[in-house]
Amino acid sequence: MLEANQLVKHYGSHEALRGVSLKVEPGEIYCLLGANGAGKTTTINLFLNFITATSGNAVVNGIDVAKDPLGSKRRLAYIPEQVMLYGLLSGLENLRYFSTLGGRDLSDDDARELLLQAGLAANAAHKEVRAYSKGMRQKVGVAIALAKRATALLLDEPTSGLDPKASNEFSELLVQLRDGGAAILMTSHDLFRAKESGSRIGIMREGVLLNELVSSDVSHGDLERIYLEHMSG
Amino acid sequence: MSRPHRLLAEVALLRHLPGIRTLASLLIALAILATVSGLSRLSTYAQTIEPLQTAEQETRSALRDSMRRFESSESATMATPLAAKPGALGFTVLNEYVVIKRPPLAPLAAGVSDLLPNYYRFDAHAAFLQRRAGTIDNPLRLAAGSFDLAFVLVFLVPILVIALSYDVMSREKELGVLALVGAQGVSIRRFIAAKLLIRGLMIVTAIIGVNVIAMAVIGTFSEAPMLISAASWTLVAVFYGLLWFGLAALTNAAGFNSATNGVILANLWLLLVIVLPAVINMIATNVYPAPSRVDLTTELREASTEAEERAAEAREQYFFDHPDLAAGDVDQEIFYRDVARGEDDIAQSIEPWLRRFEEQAQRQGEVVAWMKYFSPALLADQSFATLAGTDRNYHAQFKVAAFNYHTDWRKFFVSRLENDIGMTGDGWSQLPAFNWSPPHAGKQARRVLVPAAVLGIMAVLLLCMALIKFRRYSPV
Repeated sequence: MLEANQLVKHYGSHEALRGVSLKVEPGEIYCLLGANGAGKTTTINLFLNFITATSGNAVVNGIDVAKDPLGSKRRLAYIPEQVMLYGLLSGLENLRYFSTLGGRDLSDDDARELLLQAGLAANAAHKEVRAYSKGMRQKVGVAIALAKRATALLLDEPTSGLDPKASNEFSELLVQLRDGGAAILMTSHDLFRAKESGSRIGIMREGVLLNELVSSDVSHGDLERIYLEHMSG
Repeated sequence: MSRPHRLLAEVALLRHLPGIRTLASLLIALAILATVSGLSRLSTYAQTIEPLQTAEQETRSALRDSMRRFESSESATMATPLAAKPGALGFTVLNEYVVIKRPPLAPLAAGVSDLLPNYYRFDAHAAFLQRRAGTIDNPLRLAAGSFDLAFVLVFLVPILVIALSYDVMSREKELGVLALVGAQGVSIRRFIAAKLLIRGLMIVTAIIGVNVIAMAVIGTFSEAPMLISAASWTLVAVFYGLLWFGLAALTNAAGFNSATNGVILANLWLLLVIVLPAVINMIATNVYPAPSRVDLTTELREASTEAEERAAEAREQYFFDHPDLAAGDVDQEIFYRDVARGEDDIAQSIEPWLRRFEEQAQRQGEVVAWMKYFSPALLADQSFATLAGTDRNYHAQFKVAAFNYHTDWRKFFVSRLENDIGMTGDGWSQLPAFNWSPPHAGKQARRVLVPAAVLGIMAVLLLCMALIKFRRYSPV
């Protein structure tokens, strides 16, 4: 479970977040929408404890991330917009390396199996990651999350720049993870993908969570209209 | 996750570090080349002195033979040979070569060995007339400096260390990998510490490796007493390398990007390795400038003229007292006796001048001795020269021993002149011999103890400061 309670983040005089509260239950995908600078990535970084909240708190699986940053990450996975891996290592070696850091030593067979589950073609596992497309690197990111048996996932614009097919494949993976009981918080600019794969949708502007919608309650057209109203308002 | 596993993962990553094999091969090649160059330098010195010593031995053998024939001859008509005349022998014929002995590490650091004499050629003239001898070095090499292991360690290893570590953390951040690492439930601080530990160990291993290779090439390990010198040398090299690694780590911890880190470290190299030693040298020579050589030459000329006048007066008095000798050729031995007396007078006149030169040189040395602590490069370089027996101190000890010996050598001939004692076969066997015991390896190692400790402390301080600063290092 992921929970933000009245999160405030100031950078000097700039208010990046102004009292954001949200909750993502297990088996739920929560999509945060908003223009650049709305505070989506700041929210993710607060959940990861990469930055410290000015006030409020972020909780992962019941653990306050500021109080126990390492404990909160034990069952947490993070997939950034660009999954940056070590380019000279293969996908398999990257997976094993990050899994080792995460506390799990994988055999080659286990790693290969996880990469297959994440949708990476078997013949790509041993290629150097620098030759991977963005979609392939995202799949390694998902494999790292799978290896960690993550119950909470933070995704920062993961489908940005992916072609429609790759974006669709990625969304299917997310749905699998959601069905496995993971709580997923994803930021995106992609209204269509948010509606398709998200359980709930939050719309942010200038550090404020303006609206929360249940995606099954709105059509694609409604979502676009509501979003544009908030952005222009 | 267990710490060994994390460290092993870092080691596995190192195998993929771009250019690491090239850098390692380059370092090994440079070390071997530098050692061979050092051996060749010493071999050149040896090749210069050996023919001179051989020729001198041949001259002495011939003179001894003539002395033996003279002493065994019953013929009263046989003229007194040259070998029996102490004045001619001491002042003209015989040359005594006094050669510096160096420790086995000498090929690894030229120090000041290419600037100061490696041997002296003595005769019975006064000390101030003993000109320095030595190998004529290639002027270009003198200007550019010697290519030896000390050069590789002091000048080039910092560049290699910078190349390996200028982006040790900034690159991770720029790639975005650090954010992924930070999300894995591993402490960023520990991750950085592990990364620095492995990278530092790699640098230490490389430095120890090249030193072991160089010492194997010169065969140091075959001499047990030199192991302490070899160990001290390696310790200085490791601390100096770690100091540069500490600087790289601290620069990374400041949070700059890789390009900025590279520029900062390149400028630090320029400052600490090139500029500061030059500034320290400039300060030393300006605070304690050498006295004017023109003044010294003028004083020397005046003293010589006075001594010659006194000698001429003494000669006149001698012929006045011995009118029977005035018509014939002047006895050469009397001439040499006068020369010796005149030189003593000149030596007395110029002694304060020479002392001033020595004192200023000593003060300059003292300034450099404490100012070297401002430049790690100078500190390391002087430590290497100390262990190799090529520093100013080692040369000064050799010079003192050599000139003390020269005093004995001169006295041997002059006392015979003054007492009118000719050389005999026994006299030949009583010629003084130079026996200098160079400073013991342990003593030389003790002299680098403080510089090594300072380098080590500086390295540890820099690494600690870096680790403290890394505590606030943001992965994004």
